[in-house]
Formats: sequence, C-alpha cells, structure tokens
Amino acid sequence: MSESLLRVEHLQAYFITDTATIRAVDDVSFELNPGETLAIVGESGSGKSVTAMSILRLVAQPPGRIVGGSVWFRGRNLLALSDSEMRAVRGREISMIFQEPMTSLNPVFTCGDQIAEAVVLHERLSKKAALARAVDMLTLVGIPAPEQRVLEYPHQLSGGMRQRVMIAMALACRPSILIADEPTTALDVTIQAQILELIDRLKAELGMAVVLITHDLGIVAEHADRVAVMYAGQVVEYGDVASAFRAPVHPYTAGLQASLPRLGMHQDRLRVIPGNVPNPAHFPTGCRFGSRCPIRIDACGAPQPLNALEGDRWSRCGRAGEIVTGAVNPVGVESRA
Amino acid sequence: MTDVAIDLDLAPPDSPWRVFRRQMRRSPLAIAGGVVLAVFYLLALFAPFVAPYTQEEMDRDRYFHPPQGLHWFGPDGVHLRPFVYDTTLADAGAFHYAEDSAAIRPVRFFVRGGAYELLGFIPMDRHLFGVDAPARIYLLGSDSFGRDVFSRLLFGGQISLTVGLVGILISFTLGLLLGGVSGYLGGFTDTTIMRGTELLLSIPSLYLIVAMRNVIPIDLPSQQVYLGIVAILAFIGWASLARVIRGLVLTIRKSEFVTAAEALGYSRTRIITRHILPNTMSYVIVAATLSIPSYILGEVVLSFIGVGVQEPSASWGNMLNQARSIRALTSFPWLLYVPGTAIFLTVMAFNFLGDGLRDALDPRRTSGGRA
Repeated sequence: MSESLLRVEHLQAYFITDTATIRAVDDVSFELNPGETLAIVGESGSGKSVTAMSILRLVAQPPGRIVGGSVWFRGRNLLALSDSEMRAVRGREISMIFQEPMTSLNPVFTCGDQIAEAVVLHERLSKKAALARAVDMLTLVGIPAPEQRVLEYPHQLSGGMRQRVMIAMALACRPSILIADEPTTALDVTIQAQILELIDRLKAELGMAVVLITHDLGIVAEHADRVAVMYAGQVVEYGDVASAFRAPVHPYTAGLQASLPRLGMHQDRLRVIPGNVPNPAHFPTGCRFGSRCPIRIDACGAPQPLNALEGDRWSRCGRAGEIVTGAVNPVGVESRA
Repeated sequence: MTDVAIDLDLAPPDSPWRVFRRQMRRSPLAIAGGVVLAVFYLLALFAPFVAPYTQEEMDRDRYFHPPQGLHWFGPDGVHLRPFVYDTTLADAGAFHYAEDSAAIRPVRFFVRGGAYELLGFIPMDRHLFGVDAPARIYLLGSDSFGRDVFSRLLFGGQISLTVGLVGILISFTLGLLLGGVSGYLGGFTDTTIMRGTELLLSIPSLYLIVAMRNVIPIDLPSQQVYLGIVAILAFIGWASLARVIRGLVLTIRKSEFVTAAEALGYSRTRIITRHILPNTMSYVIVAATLSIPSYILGEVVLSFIGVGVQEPSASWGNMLNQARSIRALTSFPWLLYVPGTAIFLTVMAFNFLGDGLRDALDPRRTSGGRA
C-alpha cells in the first residue's frame, strides 16, 4: 500500500501527569488514500480527537506527549520533522477544522483577514492578492455576498457561516488533506447536512482526502469510504464502510450496530452494551473491550494486536476469524433472533 | 445554498467601533474626563505659545505675587478688552502688593515676546496673550523667584502629563510581551518570569523608586533625569500588568482559535503577538488609562521630595515642593492650589475616562442599557 497519502503506524500519545499516565491514543494505525474520506468513529474519550491532533502535532506539551509510532506523509515522518518544517506542513499540506465554530475564529479580526493571513504566510502572496483569494474561498464554500463578508467580524456570522469560514481558512492554501474534527457537532441538524455536503463537494473539486472524526454512525455511513472504529485509545476495527456496517468483525462495532434503533422495529427498550469504558489511567493488559464482551474467552487476557483479515479489513479481536465464518455471534449467542 | 436567508437574518450590522461609540455616549463623566484631558494635553503641547513667559523667567520685583483678577469694569467705565491693574509692593515683609487703580494694563493677544520653537521646530515669538512691559500678568500668581506660576504650570504639564504616557508605553510593552510569553509557553519560562514579577512586587514601590533614583546622578540635565524617572516608574509598573496578562493569555490560549492558528502553521511569536494579545486589548486600554495617574503621581512624589525634575525646570511635583512651608500655605496658598488642582483634575479625568472605557469595551455590554 505504498500509494497511500497518509499512513499512521502504531501511534501512541499519552498524557503524563504527576498522578497518572493517561494512554489516550495507544497503538493507532490507519491509512488514507488520495481522494478518500476516512471516518474515525468512537465515543467520547476514545482518543479520536487526540489522534487527529497528533497527526499535526498539536497535542499540548506538557502534559501531552507522542511517545511512539510514526505518521508518514509524502515519504516523510511528520513526527520526526523540526518545528519549522512542521509549520510548513500545517495549513499548507494538511489542514484541520474544529468542533466549535463559535470559538474557532479570532473575534478581533475580520473573516477576510483571517483567511488571508494563512495565504500570505504560506504562499507569500501580497495582502491584496490574499484578500482576493479570501473572496474566492468564501464563494467556494457557498457564502453569499463574499465581498462584504470578508470585511465582517466573526460575531456578525451565524454558526453555520462561521464553520464555512473555518473551512475556507483551512482550504485557502489548497491542502491535500483536511482533518475535520467533529465539524458538525455544534451545529443544528439541517446545517450539519449542508456542511457535510460542502465538505464532500470540496473534496471532489479540490481533489483532497478527508479524515472525518465523528461519533455519529449515520454520518459515517453517508459520507465515508472507509472507517476506523476506536475504543479506549485503540483502533478496534478498520475497513471499508459497507462491510463494517453489514458484517462487523469486532464485538464492539457489532454492539454499536445492535444498539441503533431501526425504523419499523418495535422495541420497548434500546439495546445497550453492558458495562463502562475502562478508566484510561488503568487499562487492562488484555483486550480493552474484554470486560464488556459477550464472546470473551480466556485468551482475551493477553494483549490483542490489530489483525489483518480478508478484503483489507482489520480487527483487534482474537476471535475475528470465527466471527467472519459465522461460528460465533459477536453480539452474544442468544441475541440473534 | 438553502441556508442563505437564515444566515443573513442573523447578522447584526454593528461594527465594534460603532458599538464602542454608542456605549461611550452613555457615560457623560467619561466624556467630560476625555475633554479635560484633551484640553490639558493641548495646553501642554502648545505651552510656549500659551504661556506669556518662559518657565525660568524671573521678576526680581515681584516675588510671591498673588493671582491677578481680570477686569472689565474700571473707574472709567466698561472696557472692551479685559485688563489688569499694575501693582506695587506695599509691604516688603509680607509680600503685600497694592493695585494701582490708575494703571490699567489691557491684556493684548498675540503679542511679541520671548522667542521659542513651537512643537520643537516652528520658530515663533508670538504669545497668546500678554500685557505691555514693564507691567506683567500673573493669572495664577508668582512663586518665590518671581516666576509666573501659570507659565510654569503649562511647562510642568509637559513633563507631568507625558511621564504617564511614555511610562505606560514602556511598561505595557514589557508587561504584554513577558505576560504573553509566560502564559503561552508555560512551564519553566512561566515560572521564571512569574517569580521575577513577585520579587519586584514584594518590595514596597516607593522605597524601590527612591532607591533606584539614587542610582542616577542627581545633577544630570533635566532631560536625562526625566528619562530616568520614566524608566524607573516603568520598570516598577510592568510586573503587575504582566501577571494579569498571563492570566488572560492562559484563558485565551485554550480557545479553539488558537489551536486553529497552530493548525494553520503559524509561529509562536505570531500567535502570541497577532492572535492572543489583540484579544487582551480591551482590558489593556482600560488598565493603561487607569494606571497613568499612578505614573503622574510617581513623578510628583519624586519631584516633591526633591529627587525628581530639578529646578529651574518645572514639573507639577516640584511646584508643589514650593508649598511645603507653613508660611507658603498660609500666605501664598496659590502655590499649593494651582499644581494641586491640576494634578487632582488630571487624575480624576483619567479615572472617569478609564471607568467609561471599561463599560464601553466590556463585551457583555455590547447592546442594551447600562447595567
């Protein structure tokens, strides 16, 4: 798979404090191909945001620290670059947008200034040319009257507009990868759909790849080509979206699937995965999903690697082979009616 | 796109500057303060033109001359231009002057007088007003050397009013940079800078001012003494500001726009100076306005105790110094009232203006009435 644009290998990012070491990201690997959307999905605290921040080395240091792994981008390991080399990658090659559009823009500068700043810095354009680029970018992200909007301050825009301006800022230097960290969580549902459609459209128009971080399985199904499911700091299942949704190869993914309510189905109570996520300061040595797993066996007490399966699918379950053949039911033997 | 209409509805039309002006209009005291300060600074700027005499010009016949009233009504009826009566020393021991009601000296405007350079480069010899020699006009009296207190007040204002501006310029640059770096970088840098400020703040400031003043020779030219005083006051003033700025930066650096700036590949220097510090500006403007009085008072204190601006150069502090004795207080009270009132008005004006600015720049009050 040498043609992949971004390859994350065994990434480990810990938060080291006086009292505990939080293993927020612990052995995360995935690949991103050109023009592809990879979704990283997981619940709060599963390490998906820290993974994204680690790719751009934005984890606050201290207490955060990238303790292992590598991030390969165009033949270079981003984790080994100097600070100034890394700054040349950020915004120009790989850009990122954030969850909270209300606070992601600097309140004291106009939208145009903020978009133009990145262009001036990375492409050494004049201020005037950069402002013209800002107008183009606002047009591209579907903001009406862009000539007027570049002169306005963030507080004069609504949440959806601000997220569009954020996207314009992130894409102003035409990066090849956009990392979108829950870009629609803070927006209401109709605006959510528009922003995601916008990202899809820009991905096609600008030929970039997208890492979409979300906790919404519906968004994954509609907008992603491949998915990496994270649980307790690890990728537990990784593969193409269609297969992962049709026939999950990890009991956690299967449990998530089973807990989704379905239209037309009569159910008194929603199905849940029993138990809680283990404390990130004291992860078990073996399978981290073990304590909640319906198909746990004694061998699960040993550390579980991410195993390759057929069809470029990966699972961190020791019994994945049995799940694929149908020998065990990943949501529990009795539950499949 | 379908959200166009909704988005346009939500956009309020006010620019920050317009909001600021609207808020300022609601606070008459702040406007009054601003007007008083504007007048004072203009008078100081044009002191050589407005003042009838120089700050050093002595009149050996008129020591401790009381302030002269301007008259329109004389024994011969109403005059079109105001005039003063010439005076003669009636009692040399008590410095009592008698007005000569026959010797009417009309006040003339744009009279020729001593040559000077306006704003430092325009050579002129016209003064705003004056009376025909050998009579003299003492609107606010004269001091123990027979110098015009009004003229000295204007020239003294050049020092006393600018010491605050130059002082905060230096101390706020220091405070913003060190506080910004401290808050943004954290860790060892933060600890070092903050312990430094604590060391500085732990020493009583008046003691520190006087001690540092002793480092500078007392007999330097007044320009250099002035710079020395400003440097001392600024050196003491930056510490408390740096602490507050550090606190603000700690909050701001957690904002997502700072992470966004990092994600766009901006350098640390750029993020601190272009992204974080501008967000502290509304606080800094208010803090600067409210801390100028302490610089003015600092210069007054130094000059009052005799280690500040040296005679014959005037400052409001060394003018007060002349009013130290009981005799001055009882017999020549204008020596106290004139500089005292000027200092009082300036400090009050800065405080009113600062309070008004704080209300106007408070983001929680961008709309609606005064709370």
